[in-house]
Parts: sequence; structure tokens; C-alpha cells
Amino acid sequence: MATVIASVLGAQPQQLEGVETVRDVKQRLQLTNYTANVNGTAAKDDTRLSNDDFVALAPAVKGGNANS
Amino acid sequence: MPTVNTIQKLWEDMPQKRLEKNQGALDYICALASQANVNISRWNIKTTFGKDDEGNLMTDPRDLNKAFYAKLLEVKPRPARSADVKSDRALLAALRRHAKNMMATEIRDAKADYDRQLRTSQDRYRQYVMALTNATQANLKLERLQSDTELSKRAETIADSIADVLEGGFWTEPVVHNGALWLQTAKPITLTYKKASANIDVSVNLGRFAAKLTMSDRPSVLVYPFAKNKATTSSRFYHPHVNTGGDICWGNVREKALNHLTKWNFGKVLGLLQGLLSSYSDGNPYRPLQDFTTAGAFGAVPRDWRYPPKPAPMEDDE
Repeated sequence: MATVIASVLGAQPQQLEGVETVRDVKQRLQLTNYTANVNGTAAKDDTRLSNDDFVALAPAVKGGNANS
Repeated sequence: MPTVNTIQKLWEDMPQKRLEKNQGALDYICALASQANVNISRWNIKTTFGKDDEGNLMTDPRDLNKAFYAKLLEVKPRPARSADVKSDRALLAALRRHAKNMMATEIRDAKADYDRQLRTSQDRYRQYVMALTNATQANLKLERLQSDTELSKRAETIADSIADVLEGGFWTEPVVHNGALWLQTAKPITLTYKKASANIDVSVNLGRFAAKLTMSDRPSVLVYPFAKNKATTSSRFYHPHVNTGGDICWGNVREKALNHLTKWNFGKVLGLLQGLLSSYSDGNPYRPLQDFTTAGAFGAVPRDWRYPPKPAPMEDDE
């Protein structure tokens, strides 16, 4: 279990205690459809977390071209 | 104060390797600030993220994260921008104008939609009322048709029309036999035809005839000669406009006669039949009148096709 800093895009970062994976962070914040990166690197849901990791969460957005 | 924009001056004389490490740390700090949407331009980078007095920064991301978050907790949150916006009257007025313009389009669309829906519902209501009215009328008609009163009325109407015809004196002795109404001509029918250019001048007493009106859902009418009739042709025709099966060549009144028959208007049918039997049209007869002879050369009317019909005696259906 780790204590991490979670930042949801556009909101004040907060500290989360007792999380093990990125999935835990998403569930805790109820943001299951968001993408995550840990310490600046894209991370999957089962990425394990360590103390003081910075988990940034952003809505999953897929860009498209002008015709899509 | 070494800020994010000025701290690089401290690194000017650093070896390349250390410089790159510090620059990487600074990039990471900037990325954190961006992700957290925090303005760090006034932060003292050296005191917040510094590792030593020489201006070197921490390199472990976790140390940087921890320092970043600790600093964040120190910084007084900026007052909500929304409060400024809401208290700025000019801005608020401008926003209201903008919102009004935006809403004008929506209001116009909503009004058009309302009008369209209203028209549709009014049309449907009119159709509904019309259909309901029609259904009510159909039901009333159905009830009327199913009533005994209507049945009696219809029967009386038919009887009246036949009575009117009988009053004319051409038709007589109506009887019902095996579901058919039979009437006889009161007198023998004599047809004449003169055509000087062809040297034709004939007058033939064809005798009496009977009309059989079949009273079914598809009414029909046939004409039968009396057994006593003498006038006939070699092919056993007994009237120029009636074939050997009793079918009538209605000529120019065909549509009218069939229409009356379909509607059970027997009085009208008999009226038309009277005119047809009593007159000769040289246009298109089954057989020309001049072919008929009363000399008895072709024998009497066969028993299987004459009036009264064989074999059952005439009697009422009742």
C-alpha cells in the first residue's frame, strides 16, 4: 500500500493513502474512464504504485481529423 | 530568487552531465505544474526543489512529487475566479447579452418545433374527430340496416316500386317461385318494322312473355316466352332482343339496367324491360324481326324453356 499524490486535470492535487495500483486511484476518485500517467509516464490500470508517486488523471480523449 | 525562468543562470558553469540532470528535473517540475494546473512562476525553485546550495535540483521524481505537493499546501489557493466574474456588472451584462443571443436561436427553433407539433396534433385531432364521426355514422347505418324496421322498409320500397309498375298495366300477376319474382306481360307483344328502302314492312305478334327476377345477392333477370307463343325463328328465338337462354340484350340502357338490378330496384328494371320488349331496334338484334314467322314452321316453344317454368308449379315462398 502506498500514499500517492493524485491530480485530476484542472483540480487541486490531493494525497491518497492506501492505494496499490492505478486502478485503486481511479476507483477511489470514481474516474474509471480516465487515462492515467504516473510520474510523467503513461500507466495502465494495474501499474503498481509507490509512496509519493504523482498520478495524473485526465479524461480519455481521442482526437480525430476534420472528417471524423 | 531563482524561479523556473531564472534558475538556469545558476547552472551556467555546471558540467554538461549535471546540467542535463537539472534541466530534466526542471522539465519534470513544469510538467507537474501543468498537470495540476498550478502557476509556479513565482515559486522559489531552489528552496523548494533544491538538493544543495549549488543550485542542483532533486532528481528522483518521488522526491520532486513530495516537494511539489508540500509547496502546494503552503500556497494560499487563489480566490475563485467565478466570484470576480459574478461581481463584475459590465462583464455580467455582456454575458447576459451573449446568452440572450445564444438563446434567441434556441427559442426560435423551439417555437418552430412547437408550431410544427401543434399543427401535427391539430391535424391528427381533426382526422381523429373525422374518423370518429365516420365510425359513428357507419355504426348508426349498421344498426339501422340490422333492424327489422329497415328490412320491412326495404321490402316495402321494393313492393311499392313493383306496384307502381303493375299500375302501368304492362306487367301483371307477380308471384314468387323458388326465390325468384315472376311477372307476366298482360298482353301479347306485337312489334313492327318498316324500311321502305329495303322493302321491309313486318308486324309480328310475338305473344306474351314472363320476366324472372332472381332475388339473390347478385340479382338477375331473364325473359321467358309463353308456351302458346307461335312467333319464332329457325334458331328458336322468341324475341329479337332476347337470346335462347332468356338473356336480354339491353343495348344502350345496359349500364342503367345493371345498376338498378344491383340495387334491387326491380321497379326500374321492369320499366326498362317493358320498353325493350315493346320496341324493335334494327341496330343489333339477336335476330331481325323479319326472320320471325308465326306459321308454326319451327314448332312450339320447348317445354324446358317456357313460361310457366317446369317442373314445379308456381307457389309463394312464404
